[in-house]
Amino acid sequence: MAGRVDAPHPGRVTLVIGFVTLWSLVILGRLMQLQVIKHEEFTQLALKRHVVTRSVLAPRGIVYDSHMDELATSVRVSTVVAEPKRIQEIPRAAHSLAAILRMNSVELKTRMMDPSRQTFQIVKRRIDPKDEARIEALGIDGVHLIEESMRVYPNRKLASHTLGFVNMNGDGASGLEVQYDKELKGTPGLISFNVDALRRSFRGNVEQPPIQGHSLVLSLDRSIQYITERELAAGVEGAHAKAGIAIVMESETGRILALANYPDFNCNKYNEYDAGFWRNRAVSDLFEPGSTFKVVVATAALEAGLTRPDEVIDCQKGSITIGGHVFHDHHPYDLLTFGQVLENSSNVGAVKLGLRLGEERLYEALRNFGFGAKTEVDLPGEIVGLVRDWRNWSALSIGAISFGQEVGVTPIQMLVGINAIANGGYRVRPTLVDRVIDYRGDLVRTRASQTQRIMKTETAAAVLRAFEGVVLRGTGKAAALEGYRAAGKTGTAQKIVDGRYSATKYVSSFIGFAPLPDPKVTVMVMVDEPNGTIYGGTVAAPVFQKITQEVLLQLKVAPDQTLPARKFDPALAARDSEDYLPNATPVLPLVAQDPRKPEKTKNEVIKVYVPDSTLAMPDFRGMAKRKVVARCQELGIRVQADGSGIAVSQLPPPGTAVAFGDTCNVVFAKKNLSSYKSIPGLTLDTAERSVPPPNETPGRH
Amino acid sequence: MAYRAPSDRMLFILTSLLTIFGLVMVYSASSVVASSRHGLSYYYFLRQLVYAAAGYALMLALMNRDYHFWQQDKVVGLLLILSAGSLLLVFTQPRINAAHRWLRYGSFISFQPSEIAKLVFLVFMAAFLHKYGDEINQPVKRLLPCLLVLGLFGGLIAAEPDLGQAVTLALIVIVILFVAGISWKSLAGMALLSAPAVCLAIVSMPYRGERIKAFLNPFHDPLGTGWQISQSLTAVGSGGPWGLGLGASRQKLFFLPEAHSDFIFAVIGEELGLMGAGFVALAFLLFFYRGIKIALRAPDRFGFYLGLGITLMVAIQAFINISMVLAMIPTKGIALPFISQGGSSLLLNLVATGLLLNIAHYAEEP
Repeated sequence: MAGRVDAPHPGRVTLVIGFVTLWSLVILGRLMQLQVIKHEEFTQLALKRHVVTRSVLAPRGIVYDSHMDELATSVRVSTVVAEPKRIQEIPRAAHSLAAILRMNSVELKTRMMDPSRQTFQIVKRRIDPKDEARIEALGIDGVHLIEESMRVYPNRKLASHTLGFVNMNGDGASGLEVQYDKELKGTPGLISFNVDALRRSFRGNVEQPPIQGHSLVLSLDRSIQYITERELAAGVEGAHAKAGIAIVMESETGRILALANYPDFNCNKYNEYDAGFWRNRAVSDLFEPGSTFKVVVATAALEAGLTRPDEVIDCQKGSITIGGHVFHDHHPYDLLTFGQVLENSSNVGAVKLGLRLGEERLYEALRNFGFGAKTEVDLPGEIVGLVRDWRNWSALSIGAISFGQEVGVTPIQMLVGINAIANGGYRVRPTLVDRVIDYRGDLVRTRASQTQRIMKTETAAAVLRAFEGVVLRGTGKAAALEGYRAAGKTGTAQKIVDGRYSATKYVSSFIGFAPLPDPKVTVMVMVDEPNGTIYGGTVAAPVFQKITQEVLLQLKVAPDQTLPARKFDPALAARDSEDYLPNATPVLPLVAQDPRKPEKTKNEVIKVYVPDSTLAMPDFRGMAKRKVVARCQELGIRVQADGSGIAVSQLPPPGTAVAFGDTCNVVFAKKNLSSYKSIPGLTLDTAERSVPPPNETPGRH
Repeated sequence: MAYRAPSDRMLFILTSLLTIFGLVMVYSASSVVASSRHGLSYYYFLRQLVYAAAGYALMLALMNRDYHFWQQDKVVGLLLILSAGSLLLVFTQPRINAAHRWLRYGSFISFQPSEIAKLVFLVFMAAFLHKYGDEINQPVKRLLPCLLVLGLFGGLIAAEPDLGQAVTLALIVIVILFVAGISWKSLAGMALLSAPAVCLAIVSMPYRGERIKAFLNPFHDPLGTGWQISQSLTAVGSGGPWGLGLGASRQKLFFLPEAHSDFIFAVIGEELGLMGAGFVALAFLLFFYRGIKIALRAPDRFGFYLGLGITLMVAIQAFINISMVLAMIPTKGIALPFISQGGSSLLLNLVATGLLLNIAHYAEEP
């Protein structure tokens, strides 16, 4: 066997060598692709698999009242969790755990044996601190305690709707807790763990320590809040009402000192209450403002120079016709001054002022007061309200809106709007948070204040005087304070049920200020669906009186010694505190009154006018253009004016039957003024007389 | 028989380095799994060390034994019978992972007859071609007996089932026959005949189809069938050019199945990066070159074919394994020679290298 033998086919050997060499080159290329080109991609993929990051909740900030008393704080509690697959004897573990945690042992065992939940499950959240040591003493492998943060409200029900609550995951879920959630929550920390494929972690690393959340210092005063809640509760219960709201606000600034909803709930046990209890009605409920709204019309008319505080307005024996619909007062007032219109809450007076403004200006006044826009109070769930653009108003709207129907407002909007009377004409932004501070107590930011002048100081002062009259002589006598001068306005509005004004459901309200002449606080009380007596002056005003009296004491406002001792006769107050509730809209139920309660009130509250489908076209000839337009507005007739001066002809002619909404073409001319001058007896209206030119001395014809 | 210095020093050193490197990598890749499964982090390392020592001794012994000893008909015949017998004996063993691939004695000693069978078949092939190499293109008289033995061995291995080993063996044999001068026509005929068998094998075992699917798209089902291959790619890719450092593999923490055996190359890629993995691949290429050189310089046809077979066995297995780890071919149960944990494979590769080194001893300068 000597002698080297050549390969039988040398070419084929070369081919094999070439093939293997090529193969190894392909392998090297593949390695290059995986380890150099796609290296980043795979590194990310590996990180995703090898490292789990867990966030650690930061301690939540504290909520303080204005005196730095804690309203909401956090405590550490433990949650029991289990990794069943690591537990040696599940039945025994379940039994021991159930005994300590007062749980159903069989149920727990079944749950822990569930094959689909072997990796991780929560046994019980937020256990009693006393049980922690006992669980630890069991020393069961695969059962752990996890520290969690739990929100605690030391004052339980106090300011519950304002504070809100935090859900199980540590997220703010209602009230200020959700509004300021980001700030209160702080920045969660991050801890990363290296894990193996069995999800066992073996190296923990604090990537980012948690940063404690900021704390809130509220303008809320715990004592004032308590007084407000107590008196509201008493008022609502006393009126056998469904619910109530009371807000105490600093007139000058808009800082809210107290905000109460009744019925209330315990923030610590929020889930034991229906979700309906959590709603903060002050910002999220819509209601028709009622008589209180007259102040908007009155103020706007003053601002526009369409009336003067001492103007005497003819209230036409308590009825006025607009668009063929008759609006009534509860007393057949004859002549009332501007102030008396507010004092006595005359619908006719308000409607007349509204007519002088006209639709567009009335609408602008509404918006100016802040209706139809959020007040931007720092609470969640605020709604805009319901204010239709004036171009969409019906012929009746101007009348209805003048005394607070056909609009929807929130209590907080109402408070902020009317508050402008108290602080000299400013619309303020209501706020609950005065300061945001960090965990060291250093200031982060102060409250977002915002004020906007919406009327002249004199206007506000004039209306304020009228409001004082409401308390001294008018519908709000029950609001009178001892040692302080107060002012305010009552309101009684019908609720809309199923698209119709309810004959039995009302919202009674009172908004007032004290002490005069320079009010410190504006207080609103609203009682929803009182039973029995229903008027703002009898239901809400007494609550206002009780709250305000004590709040002023709390605020250390010195009483005015010159004032006579308050003489309050409840019977007298009740008799005079009735607002008249007109029916504005013709589509309303035509049932005059609930027959089951025929003698509920002395005055016929529900007077329903069945509108005539037709009315007679007045004779406009000889009338000034302005008067014609006003007259047509009252009747709900549109005017197509041609020319200027005195009306000389009209189509349709006088006496023709017209429906409201119809158009009347009137031709005006300046020539031959005398021939058309004053044709006595021709005008059948009475309303006309109450529309004097702005510069004219008011008087009667 | 006195000890003689290795004839091909480079191949000897290369083999030794690969084996030592393998021991290091086995320890690195297996320690966590070992302590979890056996309570001893050195478990797989120690096993591998025992086999390496035994294999090394056998390599030295065979290196010094004239390879012509294995050429004798009775030796070849005996080897074939023993080997076939042990392949049959495997079927009496309980299945491990749904396959009976091992013969066991006690809990520590186990052996894969298919590894021996491969080497035995190569010896048979070499002896056969030595005699009838020139007549290999006589289909019935020469090629058929050879293929029948291949069919028997391959069939038995495939029935274990261990299709990877069977296919590897067939591939080596085909390359040897190709070098021996088998006609293209015969080659095509063999391919045509074996195609249905391969298809049947794939269809008969659903997991093989799954593996092919996973191979085609490893990240389609990374938590299911694509788990192993996607974990393997993640390991290699995250290693980058320089690796995470020896012992720093994350993927070996139960992410990558068989990290210390069939997929040890992925751990090498992860811990030592392109540098380490590239060097390993090049080391096998070098092994191949040296082996081919030895075969070409062998004094006779037996030496040539045996050297060629052994070289192909090591190189083809290495590249198949690496290609599998890199998802270039579907997953097969093929170990990385000298490196993967697995006693039979290490032992047989060392024995084969011993034979190769002995052939080198008789090499003649061209």
